[in-house]
Amino acid sequence: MTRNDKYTDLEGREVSLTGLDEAERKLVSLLRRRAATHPNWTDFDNFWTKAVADFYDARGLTRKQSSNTAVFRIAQDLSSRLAVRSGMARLPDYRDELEELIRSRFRTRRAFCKATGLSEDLLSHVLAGRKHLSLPTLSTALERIGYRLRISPLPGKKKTA
Amino acid sequence: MARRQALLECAFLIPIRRDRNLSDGRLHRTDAWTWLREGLFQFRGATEAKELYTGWYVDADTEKRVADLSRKYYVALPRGEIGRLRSLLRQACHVFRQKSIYLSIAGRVEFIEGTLQ
Repeated sequence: MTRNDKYTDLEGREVSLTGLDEAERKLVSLLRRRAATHPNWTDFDNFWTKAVADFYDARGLTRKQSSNTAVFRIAQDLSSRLAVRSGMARLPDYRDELEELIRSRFRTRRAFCKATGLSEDLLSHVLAGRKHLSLPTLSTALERIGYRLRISPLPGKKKTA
Repeated sequence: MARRQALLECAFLIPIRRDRNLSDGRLHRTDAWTWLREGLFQFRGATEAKELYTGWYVDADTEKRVADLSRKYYVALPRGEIGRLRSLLRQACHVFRQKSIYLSIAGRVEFIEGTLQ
């Protein structure tokens, strides 16, 4: 896939552009230009939601169908980039991932703590942002439940050698 | 000519940070805003106010005054669709970690609460 055939979002996921027709590609270009030239987050949100809705409404798509398109996902991502750049939102960090893991696999913090060996008190402080877990503690806890830490590229940042 | 359905102006506020008492007071993750935009997209239209709104309230649990900064959204809806908006905002309480969300419907204010806390 060439650079022009894909869009990489803030979290490094690729959105394929190969299925887009000419008009959709033009709309993506318009949205990218708009985000670059009018970086106000709210302005951009008001702009893209109307532009994408008008575009797909005219094609007879339901809003549900429109929101599943690559164009919609790209517009959402451009908006997220502006939100982060303006200091109004943040990317998920390891605490968010822990919360997600607890919710999806353990349902309760108590069950998670029992499985990982972490104390409920410590976990509560960590999730509330008052304390951090050391790398060895986090690694050991995750290993007990079949997970591991890994280093991944920071979204939206150029990698240097 | 078909008569247009009367629309009611609904406005609601989403603080830009999680509730400090209920959660950690941090900025929301980008995917929380993504979720909201997708939910609002299912309505015929919505507008975000350009400026942020500064406000305060007394937290019922701590009895302390809490200042916040919010984004304001406007949605024009027929009366029959207001339930859908309330439902979206009930979920928003969880997604944005808020005890309640301020909603004004044609000038009448209500506080939407999440079903789980």
